[in-house]
Amino acid sequence: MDTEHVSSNENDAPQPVQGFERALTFSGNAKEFFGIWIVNVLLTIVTLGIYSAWAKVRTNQYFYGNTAIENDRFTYLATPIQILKGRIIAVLFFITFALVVNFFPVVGAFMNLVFLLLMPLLICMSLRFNMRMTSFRNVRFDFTGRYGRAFAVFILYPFLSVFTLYLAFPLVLKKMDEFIVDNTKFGNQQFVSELETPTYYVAAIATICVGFVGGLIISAFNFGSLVVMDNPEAVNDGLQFQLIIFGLLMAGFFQIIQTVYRTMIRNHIYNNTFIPEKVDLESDVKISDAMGLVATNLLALVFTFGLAYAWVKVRTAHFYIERTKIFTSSDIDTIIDDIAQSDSALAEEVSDLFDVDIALT
Amino acid sequence: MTKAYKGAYFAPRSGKSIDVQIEVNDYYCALLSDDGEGVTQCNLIDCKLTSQIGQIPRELWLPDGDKVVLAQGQDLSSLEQAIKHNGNGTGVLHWLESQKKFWLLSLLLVPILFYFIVTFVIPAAAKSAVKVLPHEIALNIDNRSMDVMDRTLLESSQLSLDKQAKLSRQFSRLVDKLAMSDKSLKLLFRDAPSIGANAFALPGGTIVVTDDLVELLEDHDDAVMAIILHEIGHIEHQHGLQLMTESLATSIMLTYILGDLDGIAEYLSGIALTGLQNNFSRQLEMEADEFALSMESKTGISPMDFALAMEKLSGGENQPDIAKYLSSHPLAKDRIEAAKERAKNSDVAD
Repeated sequence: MDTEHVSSNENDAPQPVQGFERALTFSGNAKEFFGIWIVNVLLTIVTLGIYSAWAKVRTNQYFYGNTAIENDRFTYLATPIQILKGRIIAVLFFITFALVVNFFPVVGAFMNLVFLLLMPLLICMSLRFNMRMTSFRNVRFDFTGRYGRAFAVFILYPFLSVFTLYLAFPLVLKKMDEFIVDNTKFGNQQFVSELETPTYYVAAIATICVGFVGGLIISAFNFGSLVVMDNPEAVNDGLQFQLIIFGLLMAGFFQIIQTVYRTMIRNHIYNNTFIPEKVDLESDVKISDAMGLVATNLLALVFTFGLAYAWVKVRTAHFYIERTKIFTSSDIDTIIDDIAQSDSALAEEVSDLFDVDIALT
Repeated sequence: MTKAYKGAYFAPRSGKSIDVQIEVNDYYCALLSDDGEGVTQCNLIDCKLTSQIGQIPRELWLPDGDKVVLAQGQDLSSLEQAIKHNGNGTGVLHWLESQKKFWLLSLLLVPILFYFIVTFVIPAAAKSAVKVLPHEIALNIDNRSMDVMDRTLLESSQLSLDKQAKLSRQFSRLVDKLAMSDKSLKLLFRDAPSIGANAFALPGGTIVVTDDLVELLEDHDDAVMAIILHEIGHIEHQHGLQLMTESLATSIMLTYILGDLDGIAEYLSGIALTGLQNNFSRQLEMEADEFALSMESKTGISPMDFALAMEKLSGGENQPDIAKYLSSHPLAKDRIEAAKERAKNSDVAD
């Protein structure tokens, strides 16, 4: 049933949209995706990695295609060959980079600098590729961010924030999110964000507080194992093993702590992003729920030696989509796609391999 | 023969849709709206049919950027037949993905194949890749690495010049006996308190022996030579470059097999990578040991000299068996045992 959406925005600014809530659903299931995933892993190994391009496309098509607003599903448009070309070049680039850094440290240092300068370009191109490969009702998304602004947001501001003892860093994070959202388009319609700096500071402080308390608890636990390690007989036996377990705990711990920040910022971004007079979004994820999700996902992955991967991916998609709402005006189907053709997956693949993380939140 | 399908048509770049009937002939298709009016038509050769993934409705992509989302529950086999030229062999993928027997087979095959690739394919590929690297590059690495290490880890040797000269003479005799003309082997002495009694080889033929090692093996110059033989083994087989190539190949492979990971999963894949690297490294150490143990007839350095050196180096301490799988080197006790075994066998042969 459609319900009239009343925006919570009560000041003089124009209402983002007077529209109707549309049912947002995810219809994937873990069993079905497990089949896709296990075939992906097997064929990727058998083909020494070549199939990974097909694996990526099928995985994305599965998740996009099972995400629907009412009866209309999202579509992932990239072809395996596009991805494969990008991957081959990215791997060659990666090997060259690794060889040079190993054999010619001075040239390597120079290459690191070049890579740093290239990073904003990679971020822009890879966001653009991903957006343009996403289609809804035959209208594609687009990203129009440019190098200059990306350089300021991803390189210059983080560098400058060092001189504020990172006190300005939450502001920098806000600038990054603004850059991504405000340069995103659906067809010819621009997304607009009205993000607020205080929320970023609250999120950062909350995350640090939770991390601090959690850290105290962990070190209380670890005190016990330090006593054991003081016993010289036991040192050789378990030291390396213990270090691995400790690292595991820390990695899991950081991931759970991160969830505090990610959840608060996700809610904030969704609740303050809209396409004027066409589309509005809402997100209502409870921090405790998200932490529970992440923690149980971790346990499942560790105790099934990774086999729970398919289940984890599907339930995570369900979790977030159930907590997201979308409102649209009735003339939403008048939006048209005005993007010129032709894109390459190169930047996306290079940033993947070099682990350049550019996801929102 | 004409076949008809139902679907929702989206004009190029448009979010508006209308219900259509698609009439497919052998070579082309015609789209008709509900009231029988022609919407568009085109050659099938320019069309693309998306592959079946899960229960997602399939789409027919037309050449101008328009598309039809095909209604579910229709038998699309003759449409597939008509467009099979356009990358539609993927029906077999959907079939595999939905076969539970194939899932079980995959669960079995994935670890086996992974083991096979890591144990045989990557080392073999790395060996042949390393062979094509020109020797000049290896020499270059030696010079650069020594530059960096001399500034950080290493200090000049405190050994007496007599001792250094004596060991150097033995080293050049050893190298002469080995008669490996293609390698320019070079022995250097360095004081390195932070790494203790140790020796290492660089790919271009530089061997570094620490003062601590020479002092530990005082009066047993043949044991020092046995360690040096082991290092020559590393150089002869180009192990440094091989290990680097193997690590690189493995990390790329893991990235693409495991897909997108975050947090703990990334950490676990890091552990897996380290474990695999140590596994490669152990293989290479054993190969270098094998080289050192097999040269008695040429050099007069016996497996017992190697065993003595290893005994002194391990200081008699006993490592737990779990260390076998975590460490970058084989266990000292296993290496000593192998050396003694070799000595026994060669006695019998004499």
